[in-house]
Amino acid sequence: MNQPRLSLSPETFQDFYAQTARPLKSYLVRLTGNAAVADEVLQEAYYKFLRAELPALGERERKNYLFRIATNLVRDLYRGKVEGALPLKETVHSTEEESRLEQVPMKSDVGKVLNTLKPRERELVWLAYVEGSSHREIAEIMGLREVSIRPMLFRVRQKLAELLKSIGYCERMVM
Amino acid sequence: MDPCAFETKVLEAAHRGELPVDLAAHAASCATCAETLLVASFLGEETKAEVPPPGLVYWKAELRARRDQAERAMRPMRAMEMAALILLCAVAVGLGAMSGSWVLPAIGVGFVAAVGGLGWVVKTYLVRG
Repeated sequence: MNQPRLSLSPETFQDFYAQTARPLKSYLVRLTGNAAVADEVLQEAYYKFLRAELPALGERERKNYLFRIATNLVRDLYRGKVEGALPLKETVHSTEEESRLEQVPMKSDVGKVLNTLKPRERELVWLAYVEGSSHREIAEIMGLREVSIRPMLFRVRQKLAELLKSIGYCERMVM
Repeated sequence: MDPCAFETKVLEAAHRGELPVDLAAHAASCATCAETLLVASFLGEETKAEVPPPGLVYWKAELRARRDQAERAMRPMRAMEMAALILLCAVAVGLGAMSGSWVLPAIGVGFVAAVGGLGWVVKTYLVRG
């Protein structure tokens, strides 16, 4: 039997992994709210990436493609489509959770704040404000139209900013 | 909604962790950039994460790819096995109907099923390990 083909050689994969694994893991931890689940999804995403028959892609496109696979895997988890996995909880909008959030001190946990957002909003803010992806890239990763990104991002940013102000978070920038 | 031409620059500065004075002054007077700065600096606080070693991920992917390939290769064989089973049942019913007795076809089917079962055991436990 022939050896199965993977889309990258071990050496190329190592470089690609070094550039993408940590950002992807952070993204997945924030989407799923669970480090163990994030690890599983991370490995599954790399497997699907390695098995895909990819055209010649630049570094940035490769990374976007990987993030798209991972985003779809997390959405499948939310929909309970993954065999043997429990569907993830979408949001924590309960008043109990919100009141707990209000008690979070200045250096509040990013995860707790993000958990108040819907999964799609989490994807959006993380890609835009942590990954620094362009609207076109976000649209590709999330499977949306580019024109819809700006208004969506505007609404989520406003929501998040209001939430951060309400818990007393102030930006700490090095001048 | 009020887009600002400086938003991208403010975001880049937030990622670098250095906000030039002119951008800081602009952000102080622009609601869009102030929000961008607030959200980006907050989210940027926690971006470190532990990941499995690349060699392990690659090795697992290779292993799984091989297993998937083997499973795919077995699919036609499984289909043949199923077809043979259906054919065997049809022949047995046909013979039974033609001869008017179920004894001979039942012995034949039993013999073929025993050989088939033995073949399955050999294939499953001895050949594939």
